[in-house]
Amino acid sequence: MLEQGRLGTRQLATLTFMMVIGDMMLIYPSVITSYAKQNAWICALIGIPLGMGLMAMFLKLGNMNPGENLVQIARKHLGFWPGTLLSCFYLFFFLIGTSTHTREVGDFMTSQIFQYTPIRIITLMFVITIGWGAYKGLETMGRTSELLLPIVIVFILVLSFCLLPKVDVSNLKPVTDTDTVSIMQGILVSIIYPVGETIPILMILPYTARQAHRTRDVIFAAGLGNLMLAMLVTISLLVLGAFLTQHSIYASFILSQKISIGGFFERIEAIMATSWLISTYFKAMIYLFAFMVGIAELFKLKHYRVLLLPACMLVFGMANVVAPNLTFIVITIVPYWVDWDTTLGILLPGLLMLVMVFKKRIKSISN
Amino acid sequence: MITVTVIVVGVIVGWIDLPGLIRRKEWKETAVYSSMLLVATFFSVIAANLWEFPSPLYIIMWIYEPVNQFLANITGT
Repeated sequence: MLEQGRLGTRQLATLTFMMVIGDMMLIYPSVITSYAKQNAWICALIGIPLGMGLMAMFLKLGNMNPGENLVQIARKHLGFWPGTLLSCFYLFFFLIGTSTHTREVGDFMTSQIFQYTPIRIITLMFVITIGWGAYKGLETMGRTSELLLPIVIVFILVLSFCLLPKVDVSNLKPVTDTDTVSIMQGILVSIIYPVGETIPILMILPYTARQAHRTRDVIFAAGLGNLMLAMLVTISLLVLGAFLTQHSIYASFILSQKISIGGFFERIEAIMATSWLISTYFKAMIYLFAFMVGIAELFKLKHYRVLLLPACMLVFGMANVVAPNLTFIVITIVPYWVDWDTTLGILLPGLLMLVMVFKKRIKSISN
Repeated sequence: MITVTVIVVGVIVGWIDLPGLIRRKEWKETAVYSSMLLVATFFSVIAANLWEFPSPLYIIMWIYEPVNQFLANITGT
């Protein structure tokens, strides 16, 4: 066993919530609106139960193989070499995922808040922080997420409720304007972007305590996170309208700049940025952890923590290499990223499930 | 200057972990660790100098370009 720590059910649920919310708060409204236009809020709402179903599939996959992480599951059921190939594909995703989150933090900070700071400094600071978190282990991550969860939820709720005076319902009309394909694409995005990217949970499931209600709580956390995102999408459509939401890269940030109650309660965008940073921090940390544990499992190493410093350096390097400019991540790559997420989040876990069910059936027939 | 700094950081990182690994005769760990450190130093040098380098996401774009075109043909968008 690579990791000695044990996560409780509540910590696993809060980590799942952070992973669903993390990094999506800023970019999710603009991505889903670019597909479904003014009906994006309907897609986001439909995506909540479907996302919970996807989460149930991940947990089922983990529960059918107790004590084994994704690499072990893939190798056990697909054979050594196909399993290794699949694991390499996932590990590439984990590495690119951490780097992308780091890069997004850097881009956001240098373009909106610290405009005269070089991006390398922001990236370096973020990498050192996630490296420190990953060094301290899984239990520490879980407890910290428990501690910081109220801040994130309260900030999102404050953002939503303080914007109620500026709501304009005519922004949602006309309802019947978008065609079926765009609606389907919007629903796919609303499943795959928040919940499909929690696939690293399969790497941390073996290190959680098997308590009662674990499945129920984690599915509930995923649904709650998706509900928060749907709320953000709805409020940003209601206040900004479809066009502005689609074409502003950081829609939630612009929303929080619009808050002004009685000329007194305003300019709280830094608080919004803080809550985004906290959730992105947890997501990047889990991805880094999954990457290190995956590499250690792939090469059958005795411990994963020794890989920490090179992994951090790799993330620092990759964060710069992963995108040539700011719009690459938010606009150019999005159609391909959706495909990639669909493959990793729905198709390949579904394939693993099918293989497992098939093997079980064959075994029961031959007996 | 900045290239030298990054390489020095890489050497220091290797200096921290590698002697222990070699002393405990964990050759597989040593091999994985050093190859990862080499790749990491390479990319960090590029990052620290802000040189242009093709993004690894172009692989993803290359893989999914036919899929996207096929889907666009089916749905007629």
